[in-house]
Amino acid sequence: MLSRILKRWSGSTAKVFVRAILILALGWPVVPFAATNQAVDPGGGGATLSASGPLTVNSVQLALVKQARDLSGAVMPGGSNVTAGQQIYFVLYVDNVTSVMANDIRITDLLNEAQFTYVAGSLETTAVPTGSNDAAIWAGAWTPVTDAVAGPDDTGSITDSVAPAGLDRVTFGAVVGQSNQVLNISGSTLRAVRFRVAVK
Amino acid sequence: MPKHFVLNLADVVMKRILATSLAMLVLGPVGVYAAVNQATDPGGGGVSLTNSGNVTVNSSTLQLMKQVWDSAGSNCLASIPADATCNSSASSITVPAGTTLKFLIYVKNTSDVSLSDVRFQDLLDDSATGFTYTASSIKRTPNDGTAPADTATNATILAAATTALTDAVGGPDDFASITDSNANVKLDKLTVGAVTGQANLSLSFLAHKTFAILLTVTKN
Repeated sequence: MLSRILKRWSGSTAKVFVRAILILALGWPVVPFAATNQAVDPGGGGATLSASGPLTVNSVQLALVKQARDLSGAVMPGGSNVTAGQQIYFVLYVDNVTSVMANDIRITDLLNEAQFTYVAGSLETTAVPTGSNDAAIWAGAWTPVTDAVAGPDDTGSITDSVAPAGLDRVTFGAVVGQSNQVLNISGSTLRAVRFRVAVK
Repeated sequence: MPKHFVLNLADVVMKRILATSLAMLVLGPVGVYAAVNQATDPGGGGVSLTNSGNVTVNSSTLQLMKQVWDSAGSNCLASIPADATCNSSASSITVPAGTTLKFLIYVKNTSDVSLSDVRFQDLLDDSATGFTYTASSIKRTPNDGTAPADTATNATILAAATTALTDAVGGPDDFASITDSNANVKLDKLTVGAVTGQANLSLSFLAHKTFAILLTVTKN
């Protein structure tokens, strides 16, 4: 579960803590784990086989990144000031740095309703080449995603999961309990999602 | 003069050894070995026989192939020995952690005779950074006349691996099994055929056919 990255202080002006533009880890990015195996002839049979040789499969943990951005798309640095009622974006992204498709990606972000109000119908998603910088991500072709879990179904949704009343639980992919279409990320592709909130 | 000759001779011998070594490195372990024999009349008997003439028997060491494919079985990601038709001869691949993959292991019987008592094994790296085998995922190709030809493509071989096998060594027994060989409490030792210590049904298959095993793992 993703935690909020903004914290309101007091009065009409809120002090924003961008808590590290959190890299909310599925793990630390790009730490390769290698595993090598080979098929061999154990001997003793009726035919002699040459060993295959070592086949190496490396894996990397993909990172889930969360950013706060203003309405122009600029990433908000730590300590930025926002005012009550101001709208900002949250951007979440996963960069599949490998050449192999990442299957069945699932993301959950639970908004703190005491501090943010979700702007209805603001879910969107885009895909850009791996390694794209903040500006390139923002410049991607964003496709709207319905708030509904289904009908028509798509890869994301937002529901009201806890009191008080209001949409607060964003999921992308086939998350158990709030399942959308399966979200796959092609090799060498960065998949981003974004939505707007109003600061209380 | 004799000294010069000896040095030249040594040079020639060394070059030949080097050339032979290089050839072995390039050609790899799959060799073809020829043996020529004939039956002859040793003489002295009551009837004179014409010699049979030479009969030549070639033998070659058959090659185990191991490949990793995506979970859909649509894309060959890496192969060892390298295969130009598999991801541009890649022998290693990097995938997102948690990715489900298929391992395809096969032998092409390129000889003119059937093979009997074929055995091979594969010890999976089941460490925290290795693989997690998907239970009951072992499948094989036919080992009769319907088996893929020894000229079949990788995709054809994979598509033909549809006969499910049990993980168990016996009951009911079949051609393969997978057991836990270490302290990681995960299935990691795949054997095919009557491998000593983890014996399955003895595996035979026909000349100019391919036998393959397919299994599913998750890369940790």
